[in-house]
Amino acid sequence: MTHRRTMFLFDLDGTLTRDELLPKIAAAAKLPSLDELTSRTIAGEIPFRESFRMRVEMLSTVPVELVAEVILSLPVHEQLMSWIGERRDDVRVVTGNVDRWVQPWLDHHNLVGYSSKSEMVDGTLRLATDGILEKSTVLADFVGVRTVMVGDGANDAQIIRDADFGIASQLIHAAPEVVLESADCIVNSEEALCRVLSRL
Amino acid sequence: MSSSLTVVISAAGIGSRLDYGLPKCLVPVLGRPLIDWQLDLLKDVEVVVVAGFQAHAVANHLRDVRPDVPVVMNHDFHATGTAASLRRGAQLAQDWVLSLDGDLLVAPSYLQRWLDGDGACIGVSPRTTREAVGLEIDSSGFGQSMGFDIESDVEWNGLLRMPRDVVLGLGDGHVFEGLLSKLPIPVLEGDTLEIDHPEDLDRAATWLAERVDETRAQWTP
Repeated sequence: MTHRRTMFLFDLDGTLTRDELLPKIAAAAKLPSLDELTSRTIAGEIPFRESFRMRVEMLSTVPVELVAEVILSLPVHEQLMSWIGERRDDVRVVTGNVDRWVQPWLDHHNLVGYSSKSEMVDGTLRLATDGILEKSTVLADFVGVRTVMVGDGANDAQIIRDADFGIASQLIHAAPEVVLESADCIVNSEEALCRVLSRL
Repeated sequence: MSSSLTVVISAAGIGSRLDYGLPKCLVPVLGRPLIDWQLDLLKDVEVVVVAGFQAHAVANHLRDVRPDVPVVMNHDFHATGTAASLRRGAQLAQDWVLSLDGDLLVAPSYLQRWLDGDGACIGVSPRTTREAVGLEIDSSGFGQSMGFDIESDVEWNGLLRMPRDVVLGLGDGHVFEGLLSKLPIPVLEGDTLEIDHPEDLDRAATWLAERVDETRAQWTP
């Protein structure tokens, strides 16, 4: 039985929130649908990085204020957020999503997060060079700490594998094979996830 | 009972002797996966399933029938003994663990005695399998010794109720080897059927048919 401190790391889209953010931004801004691109990414057909750059580019002119409105309106997994609220200091959000887009959500929920880096160029949002978050690098901040990572997408596979205990979440959709293969545990409901987290 | 019980279903193995191409827990008997017959009897019980071979298939089936059940992974299922799976599942338990093998059909009233009972316990059934772990039971109903070399008319059926911490200390080999130092343990005998070889599938269909309402594919109350 370990006596190390435990840090609980969570992916954002589809893990803490019940909807993916980017399609909702597209809809709110009346832009063409990201559906096909998103589902092909979730299915693992397009590498995450490439797909993500394409999606950010499609949404690059959306005002940041509108994005804040959209992200704050997303339904969350209430039971999970309640569990997190009881131990905020031991929780970090680890999302490949864009810093300017997710910060309002993090601020609202009083959570610390790691995200992909953006810059504004002539009023248009751009991903910074090498700005996409390589999630595993976050673990370097927690040497000597037991790490638990919860995620559902292909870009969570490596950090799920590298964390001390990796949980593949299938709360919203079935997780890609690579994520299931990397995990120590698979959960199919919020109830199962909260129970597992409480027992770690 | 004030202390909690978690049923750990060990379903990580390949089932090479059965050679079905599916994990044993998903092999159909009377048209339903074996694990569904087990889960019928565990409706209000906390369950953890340990998977390995074709874990994605096990996890996705459970997503349909019991989304509340976490699936713990034993990625080393080809190399490790049964205790390794059980340990990984027991990690998520609180007080007590009931170990149930993923290839074992258990009669409803017998399983209920395990769920309702208290204390450490080990299960036996009349000896039928070739590779049996025999048990020597004393006159007070305590198992005094167990092993492949024990000539006994009952065999360990895999059922085991133990405190979580004891289960975590069973090592990585076969569960019964870890139990030897814990004997004597009270014994509970009952009606089970293990599915190990292809011929067990027909036996299982007959056994189940005698105990279920076939028209509703449910256990007879």
